[in-house]
Amino acid sequence: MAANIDLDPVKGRTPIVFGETTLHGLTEAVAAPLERTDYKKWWMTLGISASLLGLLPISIAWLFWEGVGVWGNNNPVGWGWPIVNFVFWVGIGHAGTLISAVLYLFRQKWRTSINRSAEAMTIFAVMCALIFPGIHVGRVWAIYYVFPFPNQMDMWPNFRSPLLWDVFAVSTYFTISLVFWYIGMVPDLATMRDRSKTKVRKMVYGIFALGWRGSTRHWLHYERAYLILAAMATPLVLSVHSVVSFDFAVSQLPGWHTTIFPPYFVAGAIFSGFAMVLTLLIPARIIFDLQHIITIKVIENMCKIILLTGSLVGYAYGMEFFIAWYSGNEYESFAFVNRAFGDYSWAYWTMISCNVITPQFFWSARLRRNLWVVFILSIFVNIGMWFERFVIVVTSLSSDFLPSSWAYFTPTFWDVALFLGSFGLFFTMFTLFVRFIPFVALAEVKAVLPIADPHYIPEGDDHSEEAAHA
Amino acid sequence: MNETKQPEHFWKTHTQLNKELHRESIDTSAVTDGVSRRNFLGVMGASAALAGVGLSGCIRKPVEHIAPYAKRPEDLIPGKPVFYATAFALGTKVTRLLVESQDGRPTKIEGLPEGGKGGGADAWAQAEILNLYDPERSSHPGTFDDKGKKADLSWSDAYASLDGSMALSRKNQGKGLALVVDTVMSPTYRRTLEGLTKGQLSGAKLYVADPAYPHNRLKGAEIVAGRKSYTTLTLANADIVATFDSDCLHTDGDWSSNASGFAEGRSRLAADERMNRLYAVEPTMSLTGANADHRARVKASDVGNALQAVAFRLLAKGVGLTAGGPKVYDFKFPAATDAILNALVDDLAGNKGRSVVVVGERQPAWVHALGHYINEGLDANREIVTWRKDSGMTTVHQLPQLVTDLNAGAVDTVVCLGTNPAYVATGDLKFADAYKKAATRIHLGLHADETAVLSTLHIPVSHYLEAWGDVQSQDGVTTVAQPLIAPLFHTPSLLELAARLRDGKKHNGLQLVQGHLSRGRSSSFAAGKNTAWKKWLFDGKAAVRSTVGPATASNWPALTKAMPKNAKAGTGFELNFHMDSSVYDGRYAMNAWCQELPDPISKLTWDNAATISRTMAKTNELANGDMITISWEDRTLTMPVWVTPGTADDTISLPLGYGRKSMGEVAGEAGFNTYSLQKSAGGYNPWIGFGAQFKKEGSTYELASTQHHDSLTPYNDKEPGTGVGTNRRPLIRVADKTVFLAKPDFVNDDEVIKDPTKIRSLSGRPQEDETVYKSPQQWGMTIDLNTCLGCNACVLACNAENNVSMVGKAQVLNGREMHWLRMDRYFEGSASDDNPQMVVQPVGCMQCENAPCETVCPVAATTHSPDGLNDMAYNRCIGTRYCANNCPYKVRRFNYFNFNTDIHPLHQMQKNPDVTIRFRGVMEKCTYCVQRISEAKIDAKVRGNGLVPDIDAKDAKSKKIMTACQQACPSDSIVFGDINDPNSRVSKAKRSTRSYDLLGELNNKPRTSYLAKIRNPHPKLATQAEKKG
Repeated sequence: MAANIDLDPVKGRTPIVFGETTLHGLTEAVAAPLERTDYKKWWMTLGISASLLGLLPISIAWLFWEGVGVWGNNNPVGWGWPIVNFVFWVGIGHAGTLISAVLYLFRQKWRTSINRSAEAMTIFAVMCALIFPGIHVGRVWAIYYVFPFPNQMDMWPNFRSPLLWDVFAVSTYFTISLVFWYIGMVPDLATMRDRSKTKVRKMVYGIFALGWRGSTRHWLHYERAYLILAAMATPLVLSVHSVVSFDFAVSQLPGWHTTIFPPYFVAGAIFSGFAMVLTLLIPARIIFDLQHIITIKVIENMCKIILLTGSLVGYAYGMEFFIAWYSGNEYESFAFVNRAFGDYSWAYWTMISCNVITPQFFWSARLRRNLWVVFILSIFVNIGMWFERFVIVVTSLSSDFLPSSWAYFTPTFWDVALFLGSFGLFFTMFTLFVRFIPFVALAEVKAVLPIADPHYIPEGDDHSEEAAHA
Repeated sequence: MNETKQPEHFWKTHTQLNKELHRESIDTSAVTDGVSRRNFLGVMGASAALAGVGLSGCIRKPVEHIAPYAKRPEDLIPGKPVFYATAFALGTKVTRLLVESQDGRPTKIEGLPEGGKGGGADAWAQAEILNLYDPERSSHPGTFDDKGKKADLSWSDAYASLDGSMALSRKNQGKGLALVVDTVMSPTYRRTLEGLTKGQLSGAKLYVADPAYPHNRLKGAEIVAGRKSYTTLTLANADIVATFDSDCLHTDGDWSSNASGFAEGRSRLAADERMNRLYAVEPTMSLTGANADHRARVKASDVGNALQAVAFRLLAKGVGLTAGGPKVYDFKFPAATDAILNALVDDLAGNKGRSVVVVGERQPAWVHALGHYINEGLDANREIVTWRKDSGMTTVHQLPQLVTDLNAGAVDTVVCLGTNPAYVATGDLKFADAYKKAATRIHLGLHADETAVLSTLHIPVSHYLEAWGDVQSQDGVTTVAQPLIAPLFHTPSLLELAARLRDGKKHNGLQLVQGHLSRGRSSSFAAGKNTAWKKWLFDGKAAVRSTVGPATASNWPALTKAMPKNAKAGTGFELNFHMDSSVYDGRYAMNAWCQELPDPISKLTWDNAATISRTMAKTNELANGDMITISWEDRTLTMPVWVTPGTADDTISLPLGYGRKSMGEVAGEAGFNTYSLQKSAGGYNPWIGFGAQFKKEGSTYELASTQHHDSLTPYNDKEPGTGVGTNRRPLIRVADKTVFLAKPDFVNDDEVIKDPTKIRSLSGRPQEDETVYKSPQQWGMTIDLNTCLGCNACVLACNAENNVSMVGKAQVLNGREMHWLRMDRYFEGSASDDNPQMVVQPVGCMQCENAPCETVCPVAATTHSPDGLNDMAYNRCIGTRYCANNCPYKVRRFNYFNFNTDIHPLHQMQKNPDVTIRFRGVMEKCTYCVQRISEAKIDAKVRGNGLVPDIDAKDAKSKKIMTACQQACPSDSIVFGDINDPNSRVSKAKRSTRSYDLLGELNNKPRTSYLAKIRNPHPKLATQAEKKG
């Protein structure tokens, strides 16, 4: 497929957008999902997602009514699925900001077709993530104690606690991501406003378009703001999952108390985030007929990042074992041997197969371009990354220092229901997103078209559209 | 406790309640002056209970009237607990108690401190407080129809019915009257009962229905002493203790004093002191066997033979046993057992006068007699064994006799006085069928139990904390048992009812007790106005002439006659019945504290299981929880197995006391009734069964154990080994005495980081404690693993003191038990080992100086106090559970549910008002009994010099502190105090070279440290592993 695509005549590289490249054609293609209603598959997806979403309020209500005991958590295993899910969702929330901010700073122009949806995915994933620490505490009605605010008790939160750092790290990340996403969306919202045929639509898009008229001054401010936000978001990509990893690394528990955790968590987060982007976009680009914009080349690029981060994660797994042995620490060695050969070895080997073996398939260009393969492997990666968090959280807790306290953790129906409910929330949000917000950053894609960067081509006749199009 | 429901007939109407209050309560415990303090508060308690009943029905609150103190009752300062001495008997074991009363409600039972020791009430004695407030107690007399359905009777009708039946019996000169009693340790009650078989009732017979009644022990002594006698042990004087199927440190004999004496001999660790050595020969791992230096795994039927072999080898060694003794034979045993027996013989022979043989109640009488014979030869009767005439009933028949009499139609009236023969009768007697042959069946008891539902009349009786009584221990000390509260259900006491049986008149318990104890004293004494009487009550000891006299054993030819002619081991599987470590013989089955108390060996809660050895499990392909059906003669029982190291092969051990299906929500679901398998007819020893068979059912049953893994060497002993071994974790440090003497600081060899200066914080800053801990007194604790037996008394004490929630079997299965103090149990050796050694370790919060839980709490709900405690602020806690995750000792407990919704009004009365009831969603843990510390600190400021005196301090001006666990410990293994004071008992203990910190390498600086366990193996066995038995 890619072989049939002509190279960019100026740069000699694969073009970012295939086929139709008129500005208007792009606008039509991107705006179509927002303006047409006859997407059968979309309605199906929404139906399924919304049903799953229904589980969320039910399982939360039951949790609030009965107490944390509705889950499978027990005495050594104080944290179970909720924290696993929290780390899982925060991890997924990494790809968006990486794609939109870091790749932006590195001038990776292929990002433009996916950054909007990746960022949206980030926002929704972080929303899902934030549910869990909020509701997993024993006394939800007192959760506000974690915020530093002046109060009659004259009590501050404990700034030494990594959980508190989490509160700051994740909320900062969410705020910056949201602002970044929204700022990037303003020109496109203006486009939608201008295309609106109904009054309500016009008004709503109009409000969110912030009076964008596309003047040069607007563009100047916009570009500057976007750059600054990208610069602010970039360190957050690294910091937020580092801080999440501190929840574990700062503790004393063998299997948690590890200096490798921050980079290992960040690599894993990017790994899972990219996989989730693929899981979402491979069907979306087909349903909404955007294969020429979200090209196979973009998918290949993402596969390569998955290969890189997956290998980093695999390296980290090996290094953990090496250090556990090299430390000579009885409890540390045991924690890792126990992971691989103990009661939870099934979880460990699921994790290894999904996270270490799966990405290796992406060495093959043929497999990278086979959408079925990529789609299925991307799901495997996410399964693997969920299990990674499960292995870290549950196996370490279930067997630590004193064998007398060891116990096996078994999830309950409500553990599963809550997790599925969070998926319901995530997919519902995303499904709605693709129909109400241009899910390709139109303005940005237009800016990377050859047409936006006109050059004299010796072999060509002039700078006309036809030449670029040929 | 959230699983109890309110009995339907708690109170029917308010008018009824008021009537009863007026009619019954005033006179049952009237002390001296009109409306007494206890009476008044009993009424108060009742109205609180009533309020609860009303509230639960979602109706308008009933109108309540509270009466203020117009004049404050004497000695009562609101909010200040008052303590009363009393006593109670469990079987023949008497415990003198000190009961704490909070504003008129007894809330906690402790041992009566004697001679500077806590007194060590065992778990059962302490659990009695929950029995008092058991909402499932019978509150109302009634009659039961054929289907066991109760029809309530009014009190007057019930009395009329009772008096009528007895009048009839009196008319028949007591002929056909059977009185079923339990082990009687009360002199007044005994005299009353004996009176019931005289005079007008001379034809009546007494039968004993009490699994705790020591039939074999008494019979064994009778053989050689010529009369029913009882022996007590002074184990502190013994250097060599050899138990033969006797759990004398936990369930057999006078276990508390045995445990304390044993611990004393265990503590002789100096080079010039003789530490005792314990040998145990037993078929199933008892707590005594678990603490033995050498434990031989021998089938129950072989225990007597092992004792014969010991006698034989002693004679062969030239140790002169008394002349006139029986001819004994040697027996062949497996090499390991043989080696242990030889070492034992060697030790016994070399320590005449300082060694003793202890035979357990489960063994037949001749083994007891043989034990006495050996003890006589060993000169043990001089300092260790004390012989006394049995203080129990003189003529008492056994339950098989009652069944025979019933079946013969010789009995028409049965009165069960506080006994439950329908449950405890062995299965072969088919008691229920026989019982129904009596026309009049009267049951007097705390519960509408298995016997009550078969009876024509049931009358509830008072708990011992509600009634006057007296108790005489086997060593002859009499204690007046004072009531702590007016009867909650306006019930008469058993003593009062027994007196009523004789003459049909109402009696007053206090007058009965005073009348009996004051025989030969002045009339002013009898009226209770004498200061001597008050002193008796205060001291918990009455200066009355003991009815217990000395006895001597000398009739050795009788032993020869009693010995079996050709003893040999039984074939097939043996069934071993034994008292349960949690519910005893079943009388604590309705007690949630006991049900949830993990068995010291198997760690099972809420169930009993058939325990088998690992070899037997392997050969029969049985795993934990597999159901088996045991059949013996015409009796079958299907129950799960639990593989327990130390069990003899071809032996199934069956704890008694469970399977009380009709006994309400606590007992109903728990376990299997093993009495139904037992056999006792025709003089059969009910404890051991021969010729049983079993088959695997194929189904499984979930058993709730609080501890799943066995070993300190995880994965080294999984079968097959996973190969990647980890070494033994140095959590419990043990050495032989010789090693200890050669290297007193051997505990340091186990340190993970050998050089203590290398343990420091990352920041390199000096330790915080120098700057933060400003209080002059810093609390710390030591737990001596050398004397700790693992008896669980501390665990139960902690539950009682700190309002610890019981969570039920389902939640224990989920790993959510709430015990603040747990008893860790590990086996040493590999999984293939059938007779490993066992170690125990009580673990509560260590109160770390660098507490890892404190740094991770996001809301600072757990912080340090200036006196070094790791405090929990429940109302700040939001329940992230991060602290529990980061606690390396896993001592923090989380309220996964609201375990305290709808606390029954009666249970509310038990709660310690000084300790918060924890709500759902908060973390909790051991506080070092901070409420006791605070109380002592306040007292020190008010009365003393501002500093809380040490436990050893002479002439202290203010209150001393004992934590609840320390107070309960029979072996004084737990020491608590100020570690800033170099002369405090705890500081001295911490200076011991045996002292080590659990996981000290983590730099948590725990305030609790452990003193290493020392074993004292026989030199010949020290080097070789005598594991196979």
